[in-house]
Amino acid sequence: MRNYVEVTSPMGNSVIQYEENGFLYSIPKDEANSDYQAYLRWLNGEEETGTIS
Amino acid sequence: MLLALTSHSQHSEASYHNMTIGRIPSVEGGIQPTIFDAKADILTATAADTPARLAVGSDGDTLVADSAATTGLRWQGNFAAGKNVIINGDFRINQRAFTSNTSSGSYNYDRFWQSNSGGTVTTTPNVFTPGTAPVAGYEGVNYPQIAVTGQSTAAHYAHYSQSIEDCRTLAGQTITISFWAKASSGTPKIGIEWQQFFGSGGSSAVSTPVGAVTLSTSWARYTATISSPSISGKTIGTGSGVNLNLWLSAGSDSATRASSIGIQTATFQIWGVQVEAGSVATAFQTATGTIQGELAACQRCYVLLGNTLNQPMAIGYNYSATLAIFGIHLPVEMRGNPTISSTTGTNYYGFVRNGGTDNFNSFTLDVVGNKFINIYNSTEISGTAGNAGTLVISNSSGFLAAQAEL
Repeated sequence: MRNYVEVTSPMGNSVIQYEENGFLYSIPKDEANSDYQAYLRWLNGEEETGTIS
Repeated sequence: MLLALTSHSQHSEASYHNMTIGRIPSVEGGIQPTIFDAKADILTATAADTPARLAVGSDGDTLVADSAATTGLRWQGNFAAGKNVIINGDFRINQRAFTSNTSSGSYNYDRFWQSNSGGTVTTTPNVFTPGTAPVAGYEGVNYPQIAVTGQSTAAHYAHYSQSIEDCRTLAGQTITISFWAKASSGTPKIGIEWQQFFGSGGSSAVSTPVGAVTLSTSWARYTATISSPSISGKTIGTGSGVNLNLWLSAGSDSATRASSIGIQTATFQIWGVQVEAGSVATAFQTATGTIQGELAACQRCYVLLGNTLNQPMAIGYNYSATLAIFGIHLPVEMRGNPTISSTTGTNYYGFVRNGGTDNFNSFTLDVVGNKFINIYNSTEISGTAGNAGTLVISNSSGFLAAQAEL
């Protein structure tokens, strides 16, 4: 299970982050981004799947 | 051919419609029908007044003039670019530089991903010994080997896939899927599935099972022709596409989609994947026909920005004493705003500025577009506001990539 967190930059922009297999992922809040779609599914309690390196 | 027209013009209308080339011998000095040996042989000439037969070419071949050929004509495989909707079908591009991949849902060679439930699926990269690629006229470089073990239940499955952007791709057309494959041992099957998906908020996915092919331990090309379903009446959401799924093992839960190949323990090698319009598998060619073009096509979905010690990746500046921002111009316009993936570790990265290097541990994405991204560090940076410099990798484990896969 991924542990997503929302991070806001000093410039006021926010992204979603999680760590997996030694990689840190920063996901833009863009509905066209499949990782963001996976995050939304996670928020809804659904199985999250997304692109992984 | 003019002789033939003259000949049948002397016969009734009924005999015209039933005409065969066999009537030609009745014409004095005419071309003998026995010159033709097979369907689609064509008549040409080796010189003035010297007719000759050119045997039919292979399916999908193109006829070209060639003064060096005996008949002045020859058949040539259709190596034209732009017909193959599979990107990186020859597996040349491997930006991730993967060495072994076992994670379900993960990518290995660019644009190709693996998925499994249960057991272990291990994909490893392989390199053809020069001259041993499975097709003459196209010297392949790489191919994946995919080992499937330990599956047993109805829910278990494994497939190797590529997601093609946009569900409109080849919709409503006759298409031909082709690839070369072999097994390390035995005669396992590969089930082929064409699966249209309609994106977030779109209609439910439509699966078209294509059939199964049985491999041997020698490279062979396998082809299948199907009608790709129309998308009439479908709702298309964000991020639609088509999956070409090559099923390597499938319990009964996936039997229909996988053309009933069943649970398998086997090791597969695959190369030269092509999906094209029409009912014939033409000569293999990559989507773009060039190495650089294929890399750019891959980079629409994934860009490796840095993974080598001392590699410069971006230019940046101290926004303040404790905040550095780095701008990266992506090499191609990506499919969408990308996710940034990076490794994190003590002094993995360096900001070379003002006569020295300010090392730090990680990045965070600030603003992103599909052409340009800004990343920053505000945890270890210590400098002078206004200084500009270059972002470099300071540790061999440093890594930065942008991904916008489907």
